[in-house]
Amino acid sequence: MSEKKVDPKIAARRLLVRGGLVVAYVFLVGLFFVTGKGHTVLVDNKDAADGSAVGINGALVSIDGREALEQYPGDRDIVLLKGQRHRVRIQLPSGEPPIEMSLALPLNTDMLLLSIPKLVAKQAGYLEEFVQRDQPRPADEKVGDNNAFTSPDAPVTTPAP
Amino acid sequence: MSGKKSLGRFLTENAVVILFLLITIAAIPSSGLSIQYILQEMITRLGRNTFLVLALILPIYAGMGLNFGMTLGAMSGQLGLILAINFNVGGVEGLAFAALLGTPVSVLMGYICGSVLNKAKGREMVTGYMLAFFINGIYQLVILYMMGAIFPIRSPAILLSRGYGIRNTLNLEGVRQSLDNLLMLRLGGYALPLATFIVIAVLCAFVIWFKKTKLGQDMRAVGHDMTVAESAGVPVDRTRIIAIIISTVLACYGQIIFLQNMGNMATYNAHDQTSFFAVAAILVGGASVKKASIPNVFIGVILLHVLFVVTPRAGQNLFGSAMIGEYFRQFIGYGVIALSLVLYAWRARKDALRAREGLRRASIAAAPEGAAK
Amino acid sequence: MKRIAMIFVALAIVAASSSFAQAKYHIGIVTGTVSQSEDDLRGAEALIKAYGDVKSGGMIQHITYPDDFMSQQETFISSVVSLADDKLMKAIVINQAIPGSTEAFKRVKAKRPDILLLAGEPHEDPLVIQSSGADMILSNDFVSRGYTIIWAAKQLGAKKFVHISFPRHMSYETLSRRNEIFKVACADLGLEYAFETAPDPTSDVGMPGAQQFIMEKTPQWIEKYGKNTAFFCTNDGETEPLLRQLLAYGGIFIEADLPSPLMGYPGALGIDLKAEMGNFPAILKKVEAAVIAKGGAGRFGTWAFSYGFTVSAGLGEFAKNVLDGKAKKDSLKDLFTALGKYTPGAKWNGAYYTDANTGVRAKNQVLVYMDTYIMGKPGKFLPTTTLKIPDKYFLIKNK
Repeated sequence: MSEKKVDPKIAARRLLVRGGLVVAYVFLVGLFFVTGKGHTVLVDNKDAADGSAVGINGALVSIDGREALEQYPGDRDIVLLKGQRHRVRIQLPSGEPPIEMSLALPLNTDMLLLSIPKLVAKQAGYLEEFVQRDQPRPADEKVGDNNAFTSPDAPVTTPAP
Repeated sequence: MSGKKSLGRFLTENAVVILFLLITIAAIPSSGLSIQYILQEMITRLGRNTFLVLALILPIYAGMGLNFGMTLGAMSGQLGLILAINFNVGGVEGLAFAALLGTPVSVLMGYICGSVLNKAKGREMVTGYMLAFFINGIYQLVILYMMGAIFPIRSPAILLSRGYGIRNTLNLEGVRQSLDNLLMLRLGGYALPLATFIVIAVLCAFVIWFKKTKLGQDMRAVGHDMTVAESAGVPVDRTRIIAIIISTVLACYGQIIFLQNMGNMATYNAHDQTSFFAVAAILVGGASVKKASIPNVFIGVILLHVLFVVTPRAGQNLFGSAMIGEYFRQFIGYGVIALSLVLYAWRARKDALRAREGLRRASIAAAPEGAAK
Repeated sequence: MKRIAMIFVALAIVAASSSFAQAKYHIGIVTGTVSQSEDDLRGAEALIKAYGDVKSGGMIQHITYPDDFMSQQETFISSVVSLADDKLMKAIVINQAIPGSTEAFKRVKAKRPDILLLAGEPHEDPLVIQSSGADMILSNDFVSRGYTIIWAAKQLGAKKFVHISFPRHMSYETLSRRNEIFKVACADLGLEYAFETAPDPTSDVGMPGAQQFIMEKTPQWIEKYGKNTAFFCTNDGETEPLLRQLLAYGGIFIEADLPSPLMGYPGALGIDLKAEMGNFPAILKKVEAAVIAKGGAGRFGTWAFSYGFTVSAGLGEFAKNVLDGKAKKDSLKDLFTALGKYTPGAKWNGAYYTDANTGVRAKNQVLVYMDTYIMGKPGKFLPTTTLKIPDKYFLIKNK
């Protein structure tokens, strides 16, 4: 494989094609990133920190027409969404017409917290980026001694002969 | 006489396929599985595995044997998927994103692999196998220690809670079966992942087309005889490297297709058996170390996987123990693969004999003519 | 060739003619093989003994997963899904729920939403397996035990604690998190913590290589750390040589990763338990006698019942109770009742799993553990299940 002299015209064209390929590559990576970007949404039904909105007992929350999540106070469910625009529909237990509205998720977020009580109370900040940190254990769960259990002294029914 | 001979030849040439077919057919009734289940499983597995097996064809064509180094491509694909999950890119876009990110890595891996194999001509298979172990070590180092520590990982769902390293099993929720479900044809109780089959068909067309190009012809020449190709002006080493690069990139895409169907990924082990099962499938399909065609791929995938589906249950029902079912599958599956390698060696010897005989006859016939010139 | 095929056909006919269904429904159970996890398999066999094999008209369909399950997920998933091919199949139990279980469950759910799905000891991360559609997941309590094991070691007079593991296991969220809790608990309770690396048995050295390594290294470790050191190993197969050497050279062993009197002890002590099969009080007695004979009184512990056995059998029992309408699938009490059937007299504790990162409490995963039994003359239970574990340990996740 001896070095051959390459016509400068061909060399220029080669460079152009290669440059074009790199540009196309970067463009495609970017395109798929934006269109395919998924977001994890925590659908939350806990009381607001300042107590201004309280969890709803038995709300049915459906996003983009999926199967509704049945939520009780203190519940938090995970929903995975793709893209940035979504519709959310909330059916309250009181039987009022369901609340429907559209959500716009910021592109550069992975995990968002959607507070149902705040949304229903029409407060601002119902959708916020969720930063993971230590979460307290649910209040009704005590540590260590809650479920201690002793097996009855029943004979094992299946001993080997 | 010649009829009998050609039947015998047909049998020896297709002994593996025939044997596999017989065992599989015999195992179906005792497995107790419904035909519908087996057919559906066959369709699913065709979509899942064919792409990976097709990646093996070009190196065989270039005379480099079965490319065990395809594991490198599989690892690149997994790297791409990890990044897609990390950036939370889902759906078919996520798969394309993973494939795009995996491409440069697999090209580099293919280049390394091809260069190493050029230093070990004639022992490509075992070298490729060992190289895969070596790169596996680097892969684990990168994923387990560098990700999160050196390369930032933003998704806590894939990062170990200690702050570095990727979790053992990744949930590919976002991209799960997105290619399969893109065009799912439901036909009389069966689900046909059309989009996946279209991708496979495109690859088959590519392979057929590629063989006709100048590069494809060069590969063939190199596969036939390296010294002759060299003296004919074919850049042997370069051609071999290209064959391996293409195979590695295809393995990268194949692994992504495989994993999107599986729906989850064993971060550190998903690639372990990739090359082995692909090689087993192509051998079962009647290919050899020197010769492989597209029909070999399809026959092999169908036979190997139907066997894998039915033997565990068949073994269990025949021998009455759950454990034996699993061992039975391994015994039958790997036994037949070993047999196919032995048969290949035996056949190669017979072919050599036959060729020598043919040559002798031809040279006797051609001698006077040649002498006259 | 032909002859082989004929034998197969003949066997197939025999098998087909002997299979008929009488039970109203079937329960599928998936475990490892004898070489991988014997306790789990024996639990499934106990179920077969009690409720009959599907093949002979009973209720239980038992299958096993490959030994090298990490690289054979495809095989594993399709064999679980093949259980759903049976029209009478109403419940599937996987113990241990190795990687791939989530996907297998999703596929079964998509095909047959009526099937009850139960998982024991998942290897996949909690949030992953919880998303599988499983109705109940049972794990050993890797959070509480991070504290109780260190506490128990202190009770036995250990000054140091050695954690033996390897990178693949440390990539498991559960094992990694428990290790972090170990470290903090050691610091709080005044023990010195150390980490030792062993080879991974699923790697190229295989189980024999890994066991050989432990055989050779344990005496050196005892020399290095002293005899008042508690050893803990995350791999079940490596527990046996570890126990053998600890019995010979000194050292303390609280309990195995998945504790059982059958875990490591029979092999390490060279005792034959054929006569006691399935009868855990008798097994424990025999193991205890052998440990005392080797001078290990008061330094070796276990759970009184096999965890793996109980999970296999208990989840199968739970599935049956739910299908019979005698239990509710989301009742912790009913679950404990089913488990308790196989552990007469044992003390349990358990709680729903709460994810430390997101604060999401699982509706379908329960963590359980039993009291630790320390063998000796007389043997004693350490009351770990009633121990008050400080809240902060539940929040530890990374350094």
